[in-house]
Amino acid sequence: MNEGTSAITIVTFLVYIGGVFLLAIFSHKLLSKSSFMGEYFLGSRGLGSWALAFTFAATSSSGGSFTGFPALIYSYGWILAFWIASYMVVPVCTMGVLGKRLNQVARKSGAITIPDVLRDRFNSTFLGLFATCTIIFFTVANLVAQFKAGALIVEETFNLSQFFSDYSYLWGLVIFAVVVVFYTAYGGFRAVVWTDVMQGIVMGAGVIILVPVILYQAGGLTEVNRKIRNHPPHLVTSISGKQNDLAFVLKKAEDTQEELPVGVEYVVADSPNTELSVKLDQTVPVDDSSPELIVRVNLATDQDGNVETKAEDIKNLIEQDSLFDRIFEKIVYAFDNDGSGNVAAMSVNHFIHGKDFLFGPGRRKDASPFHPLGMGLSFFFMWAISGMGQPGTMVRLMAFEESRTLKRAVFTVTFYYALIYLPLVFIFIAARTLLPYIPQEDADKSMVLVATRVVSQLGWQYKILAAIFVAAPFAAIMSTVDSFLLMISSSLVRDVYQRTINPNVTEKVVKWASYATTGIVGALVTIAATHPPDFLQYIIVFTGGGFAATFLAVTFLGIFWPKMTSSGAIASMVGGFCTIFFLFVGEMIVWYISSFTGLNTEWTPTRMDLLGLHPIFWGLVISFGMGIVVSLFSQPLPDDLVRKYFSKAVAE
Amino acid sequence: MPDTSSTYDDPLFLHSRREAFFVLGLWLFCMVWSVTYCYRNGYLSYAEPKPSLTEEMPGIVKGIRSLPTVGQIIGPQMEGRERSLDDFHSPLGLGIPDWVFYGIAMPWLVCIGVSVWWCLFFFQEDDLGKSEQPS
Repeated sequence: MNEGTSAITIVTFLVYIGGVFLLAIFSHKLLSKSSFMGEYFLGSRGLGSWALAFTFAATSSSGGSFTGFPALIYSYGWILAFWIASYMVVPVCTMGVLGKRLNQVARKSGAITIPDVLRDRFNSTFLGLFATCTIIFFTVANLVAQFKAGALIVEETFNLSQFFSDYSYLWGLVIFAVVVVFYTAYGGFRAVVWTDVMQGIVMGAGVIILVPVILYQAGGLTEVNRKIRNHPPHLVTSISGKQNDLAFVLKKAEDTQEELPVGVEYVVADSPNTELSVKLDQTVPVDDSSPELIVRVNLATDQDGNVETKAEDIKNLIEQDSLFDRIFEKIVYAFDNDGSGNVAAMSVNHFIHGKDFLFGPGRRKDASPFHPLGMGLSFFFMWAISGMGQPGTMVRLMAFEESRTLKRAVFTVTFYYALIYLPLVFIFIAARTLLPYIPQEDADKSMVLVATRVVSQLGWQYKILAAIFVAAPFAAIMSTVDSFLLMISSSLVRDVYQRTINPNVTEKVVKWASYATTGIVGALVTIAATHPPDFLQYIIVFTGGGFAATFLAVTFLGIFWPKMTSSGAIASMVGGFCTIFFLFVGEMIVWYISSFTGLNTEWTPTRMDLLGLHPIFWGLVISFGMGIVVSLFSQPLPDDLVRKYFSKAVAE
Repeated sequence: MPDTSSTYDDPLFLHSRREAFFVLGLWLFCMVWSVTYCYRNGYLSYAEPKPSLTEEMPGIVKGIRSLPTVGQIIGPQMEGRERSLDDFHSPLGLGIPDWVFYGIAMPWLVCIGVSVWWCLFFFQEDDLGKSEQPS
């Protein structure tokens, strides 16, 4: 990012953070005008259509929508349209199925949190506490990952490494934590919702503006597909060229000691019996992500079309090129551990062909399919069905003012998601030809790189657009973090302290306990995020699946099925939780047991996708199944309790 | 046990249950359509992963990883045409591959229409009732 853009980005960021603080201050003033707990944790059930729509959309879209999703499109192509396809029904499913009824049930019981609803509907303290513990367990794990992502964005945006060298991540983390914990603790639910609205608009506007600009620059989708198709079987490796079997050690610029950016393409010819050839092209880079040199390696094939090239042959050919001495210090074998030079022949499986970008299932670097049939089915459960079961989104369905509000919000989010998700696919398919050299390890930054590239060819005033794109993932992370922070503090203050330990607590104590809990949880998560574990993305997927498998069946059956019993509810929650836990960490447990008992552990534990279906599918099947079966064979709830929630006479 | 179903007559409960089942029906239809169409028309032939097995693995892990996948079980019945770059085309010149256009973009447009209809004509604007004070 150049200096001009950086300055504009920093100013945009500061304006944005200032706006967030202002919203928190306005929101705090409203806290004194109604019941503290109802206002602080649920906005006094007064959300309007726009607020509900945008808080729902922003909370559902975590940082992944603007980092991980674009990176996947860039890496695997059109199959990501299928990966995200169930978003066509996500708004009407996640809001329309539970929304109105859950809101009514929460009003009847005076519930403020999801554990509140379950405790009252089934008259079970155990259920309420189990729900609370589950929320805390999954949410804390998720927050550590989100805090780390937020800290990295702050660190990069403000270029903190320039000022704090070794402690730049720590400073990024502290700045992120102070901002998000302050406005969440001080402003409560309403501040979170208002900032979500602002963040939702930032995210939506960013995508909507970027689509026509990038498609124009790329020459349209037809041209993009033509380029991918006509330049087919190749794999573009990273700028640093450290993938596959060769590592290119570049000559350092004499004064700056910076590496010269080089893009490396390995091209597999369609025809058999081709000769190995190498071509070095110098280019004029248009931005930071463009290489100054492209090395095109046309790989040799045998009579069956299989690649038959040794890394050593490529190395020798490049060394013979006249540009070699000017560009390269040396070339080494990347995986040549013993220094012998005996590197295996390059495998054709390493190469992603043009057709793999245009058709499914997408190909990973190890040649395995990215999105096979089982995953295609599972992802319709993952987004549309499991999205209903997230406590962070369910609590928003308890907060709207009237039925009409929900109707308008579903209407709004339907169009919002249609304008965001398919266009994101178009943008990053086009980016594949506009910016073909984004390294695999930097794919998460593709949103920022694409935005920077687009505006670099426009006037300075458009650079504010790039700043908005840098802010979009930050906004998405903040909108997830703030609702999670509030969910933990409401669980602790409301479900554990007020409803279990001290029901007669005064409002003043509740008020300070709420502020303090939000602050303390934020501080603890910040400390945990100073040394986050490596498998954070795994934890995020695990927590999303865990929430759905634990909470969806019990909530759905609890509000739509009068015969659901408290035993059935407990069986459903415990069954769903255990299924997800077992499928995600089952192999890991076996691996640990093996290591303690002296057995061989030379294998990598992984998630168990039984029959090729994602654990979320099995979690939902088990939780719904156990909820229904155990309810049919257990003691029914008292009739007056059931009638309170299902009968007109009591309803009126 | 006496039949109590007739006493479960809260209008909001009945309306929202009807609305929920309609939405779940829409979800099911979209899933069946998109998965079938995209798999039959947009997938290359090597669509299923091979289990990652090593000699050192405990038997239970090997056993679970060796189970067949849904794709291996029902995939052969669902297989459509073999795709190649030669038959790649994009309807209406929009640049969207045919399998994405008919398997995802078209149903997405239909879903927008159905969702709007659901909001405007199917959804009942029921009274949510008064909110009890938090206990």
